[in-house]
Amino acid sequence: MLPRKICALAAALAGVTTLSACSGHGNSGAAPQAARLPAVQASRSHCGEGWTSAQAGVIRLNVRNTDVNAAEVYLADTSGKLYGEIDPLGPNATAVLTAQLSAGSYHLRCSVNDGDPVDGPTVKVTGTGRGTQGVEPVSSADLVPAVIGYQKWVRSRLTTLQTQTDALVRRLRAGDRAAAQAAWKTANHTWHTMGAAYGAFGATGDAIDGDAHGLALGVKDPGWTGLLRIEYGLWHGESPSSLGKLGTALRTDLSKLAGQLQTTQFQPLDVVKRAHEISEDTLQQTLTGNHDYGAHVQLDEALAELEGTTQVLSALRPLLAPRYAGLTRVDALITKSTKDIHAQPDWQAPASGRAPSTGHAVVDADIAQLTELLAPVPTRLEPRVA
Amino acid sequence: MLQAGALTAGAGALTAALRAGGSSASAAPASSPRRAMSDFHGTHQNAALGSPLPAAIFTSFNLTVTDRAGLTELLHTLTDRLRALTSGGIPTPVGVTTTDGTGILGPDTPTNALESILALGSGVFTDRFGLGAAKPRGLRPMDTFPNDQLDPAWCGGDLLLTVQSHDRDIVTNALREICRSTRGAMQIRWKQDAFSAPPRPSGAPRNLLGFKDGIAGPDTSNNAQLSRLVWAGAGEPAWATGGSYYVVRRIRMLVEFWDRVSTSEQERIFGRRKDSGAPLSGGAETTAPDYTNDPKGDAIPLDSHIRMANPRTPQTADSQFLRRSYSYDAGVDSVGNLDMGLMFGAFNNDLDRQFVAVQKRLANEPLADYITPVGGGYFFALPGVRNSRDFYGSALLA
Repeated sequence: MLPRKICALAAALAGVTTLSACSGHGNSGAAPQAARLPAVQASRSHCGEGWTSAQAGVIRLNVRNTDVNAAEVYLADTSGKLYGEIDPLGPNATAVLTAQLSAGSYHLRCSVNDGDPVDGPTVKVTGTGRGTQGVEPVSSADLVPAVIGYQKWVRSRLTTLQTQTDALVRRLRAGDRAAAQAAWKTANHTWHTMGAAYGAFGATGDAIDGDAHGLALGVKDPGWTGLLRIEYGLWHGESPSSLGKLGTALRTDLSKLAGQLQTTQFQPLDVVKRAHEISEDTLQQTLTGNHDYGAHVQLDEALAELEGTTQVLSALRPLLAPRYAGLTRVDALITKSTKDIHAQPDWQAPASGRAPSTGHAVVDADIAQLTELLAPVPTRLEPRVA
Repeated sequence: MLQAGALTAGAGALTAALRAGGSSASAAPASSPRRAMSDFHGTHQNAALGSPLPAAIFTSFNLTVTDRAGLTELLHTLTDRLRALTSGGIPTPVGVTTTDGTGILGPDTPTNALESILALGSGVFTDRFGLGAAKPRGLRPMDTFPNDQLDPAWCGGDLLLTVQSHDRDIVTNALREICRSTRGAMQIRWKQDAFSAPPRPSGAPRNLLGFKDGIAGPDTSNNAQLSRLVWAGAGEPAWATGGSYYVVRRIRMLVEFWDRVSTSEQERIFGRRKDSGAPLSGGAETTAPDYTNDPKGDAIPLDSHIRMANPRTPQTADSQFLRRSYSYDAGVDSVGNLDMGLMFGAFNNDLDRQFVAVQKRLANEPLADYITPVGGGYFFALPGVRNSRDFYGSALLA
């Protein structure tokens, strides 16, 4: 496969269009070339066998799991940094491991059945080609302090939210719409700091902030509960006191969540993924207005979600900072996004099919860029047995 | 100035049928040999010259960068990404540092299968980028013409990117990769997928009204014509030499209405035969219409589209421009009619002398009952990226 890449590169460098030696490769598929790749084994006893040498640049290995159990296969250097992976590779299955390596010493690392990894023989890569950056792997154990710290913070936010919900319920029962709306906004902000993206809190989370989109009767569905249901009622003329029982149900669901957070620990992988999922949620649900049931508080929710992302990153920072130089850009962009959101005087989600306002586009661009910059967090911090 | 790039591209277009162009895996129908693809590097954006390809996407962006440094970085990124996407090959492996590319072109992507045209709108030439004095002379927000029904959501934009290919997956991949690498610097304002049909049975492709479209225009192998009618030069800021005024119009065609009009009336509206594309004065598709002994429009009506657009007089000869239009299909309107039409594209040496003059001549033409311009914009296609060290707008930002 290498000649093709070099041709494209050479053409670009020389500023010429076609090098005769490189033309005519256009219709060559990947399949016949896969047959020419080094055939390499992955197993406890023969890890890395078949890979003996390589030139710096793009490396492609045809790796076959010759063990009886599923494996994870990594390409590592002598310091243990990873340059490529196949995860998982079932017994007897074959897959191509692709990496870009500069000159140095590398080996395959095979982790079978999540057992202690086994290193293959060292391979000297020579030549002047450039490599991609290696990343020191992170284990589940490495992540435990971050997970505990983050969960503790979420629990403290939940305690605050429970107090705020008590106030909301009192004002609903008092029939004071303006006061209830204000209390709702306060509670809603707190909830949006808690990283409730992508089913983070399971069925209890759905009861707390589920939307009406998937319900048979939509906003009229009697099974709809939680913050968004109360928002809908408060901003669509339903009497506040009639919403009191929904407030009580919310209080019950929050207590249930508190119990779960006392007894169940977040999964390390979930916390790592939450670093970017909160911002994905901001783009898909918040800024689109998809979750706006009348209060028009998307900007406030976006700010709360930025706070949530900041907290996740804060917990992960000791592991992330040495592995991701882009973290400084993330920090700067969160600051810029916060500033840009505060600068929007009046703002609404665009009507379906309409172009967003200028201010909207600025905030959209900020959060969209943030999601791109956060995508490397899970790829680098995902817990691995490597 | 030297026009070697244009000459190469023009010759390439002429000899396209003689050599296998592109590189995609699927075989083209025998009836439509794939033309050669233009080079990414050159004095001009030579993709402007190539005949329309089966798949295109027009995407207009609003810039969200706020200063010159941000704009410069954006144009560097666009250059790097479009150059790499055009080159194809195996995408650089990212290891575990981040997520991979879209993967929709497979692990080893086709080489030289993509053409792109990058253009700027007038909103870029402001003091926020220190470019207030650099604006191409005629560039401005698109004029509203008498038969227009413009929807602001489908108009304008700071940056227009047209990508075209023999295969739709190539352009889809290109747009996704471009957006991914420029997320914080610009936001999509509007986007239209478009296509060009194969010749039926020969010659220029047909538009959705069933007529051959883009028959007349500059000879893209003739440097003198390109200098006079396509590439900007005299009177423009020095950096703009070799660029081109790029007009894009989203023109809805009322196809249901059109299909209820007789062929002979349609032919009088256009001035051409529907089946062959020949002018109503006779000959073949490529025959020039003869108005000299048809002063009253007995053969080709005086108000026919081709006669109003191009009266073939010495005075109007330099108002011709290079048409590079595509068809679009965008679903259904609120009364159940199909929303489809033409993504009209025109490259001009001088916006007012060419496109605007022709558009004014066409005001209230009979065809206007069957078409409705609903969007588009005036853009300036930047001069070409000359080599591997150059970038879009290097002279503009020098």
